[in-house]
Amino acid sequence: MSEWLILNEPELEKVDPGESRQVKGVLVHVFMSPYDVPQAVRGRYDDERERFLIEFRYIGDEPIERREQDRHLALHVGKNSGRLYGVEIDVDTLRADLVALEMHIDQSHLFKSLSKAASSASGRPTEKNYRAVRNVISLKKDRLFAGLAG
Amino acid sequence: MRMRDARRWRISYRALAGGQIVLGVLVPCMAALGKVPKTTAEELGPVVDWLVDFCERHTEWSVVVAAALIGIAQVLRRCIGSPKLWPTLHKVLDEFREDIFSDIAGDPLHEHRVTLFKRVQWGCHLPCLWRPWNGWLIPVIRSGHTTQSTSTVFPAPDAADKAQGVAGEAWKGSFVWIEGLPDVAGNATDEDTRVFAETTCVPEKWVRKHRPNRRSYGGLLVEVRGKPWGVIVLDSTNPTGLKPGKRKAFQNFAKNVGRILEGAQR
Repeated sequence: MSEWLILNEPELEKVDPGESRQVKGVLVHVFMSPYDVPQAVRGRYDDERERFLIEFRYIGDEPIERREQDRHLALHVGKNSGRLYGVEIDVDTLRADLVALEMHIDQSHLFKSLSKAASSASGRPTEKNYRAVRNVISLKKDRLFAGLAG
Repeated sequence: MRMRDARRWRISYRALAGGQIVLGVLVPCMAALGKVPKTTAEELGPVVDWLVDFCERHTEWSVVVAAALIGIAQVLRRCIGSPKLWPTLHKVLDEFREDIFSDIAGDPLHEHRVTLFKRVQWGCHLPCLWRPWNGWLIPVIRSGHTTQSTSTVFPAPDAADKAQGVAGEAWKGSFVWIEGLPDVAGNATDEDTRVFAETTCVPEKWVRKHRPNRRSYGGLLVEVRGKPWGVIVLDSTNPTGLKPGKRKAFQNFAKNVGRILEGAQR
């Protein structure tokens, strides 16, 4: 499937519930920067690269570069912000069908790679963005990988 | 300090553009004149002869200096931004102010404001003088036509933990929303001053000095092509002036401001 799955308000709140505290009657709400929260996600098989590609759309955009993480995984990262715009997974080599792929994700190989990439990212802290991406993948997992089922 | 005076900046921008054109025309003319044969110049009279001689002697360094000046003017023009940008942004800020504070329409303009801060590495305003290289958030546009003069700037150094104010918090990449601040404009208690300072991330000394009459704040980062540019701060004298339901509108507004700034940089 190649259509964007747009996150609605309740889903965005799940991705970034924010932190609220009350100090002597003063309400302080702190949320992630909306630039770091994906507003939409889509999963599709890229015939050219023969890889499954998960893409994220944000409220802003920028030039993107591709960074190879390991043999099975490459990330599409914003050149200026270090934000994650896409994840390429080599599902063929992994011999992954839908179940195996989901297991692969559940077993947190992908998430571990994302965390590793976040900690090694230079410039602005991208940890929050990677956390949001993980939440979005978890939230939309069923529809995201539906394209691999067929 | 007065925020961007549209007229002053428009004149500066056009003067720089004019200077670039003059230099761009003058230097090739000098180069051409310098190549006129001496005999021809003498035939055309002493003034032309002197002019040709002058151009011959000074063309080389003039080209270098003119190129440098044109480059500097270009950088300055880029810093100032298109003359159409700031009036447009001002209108956009005014419209957004009406929308975000629509529940309390009718109050004086200065009671509920929208301010755009730009982050600069070198601050040249009075409060920045103790550490001008520190990185500062300076106000560039504010909604309405009142309270346009302000001395309020906030430190925003590379060490983000040292950023101050709601603007500084937003600069760190957080979306901040504060409601129900105590009234510290008059004779505030120490407790109220402490709470105000703690929740708005400014030193208590600053609160005692400025006695801000704001009771609610919102702060959000503005990015241009993935790079942090500045922040937008909403403030209101009403402790419930900012409604949680307006947060999404604020996000969209910051995105649109980023798009306008991006367009101006192309």
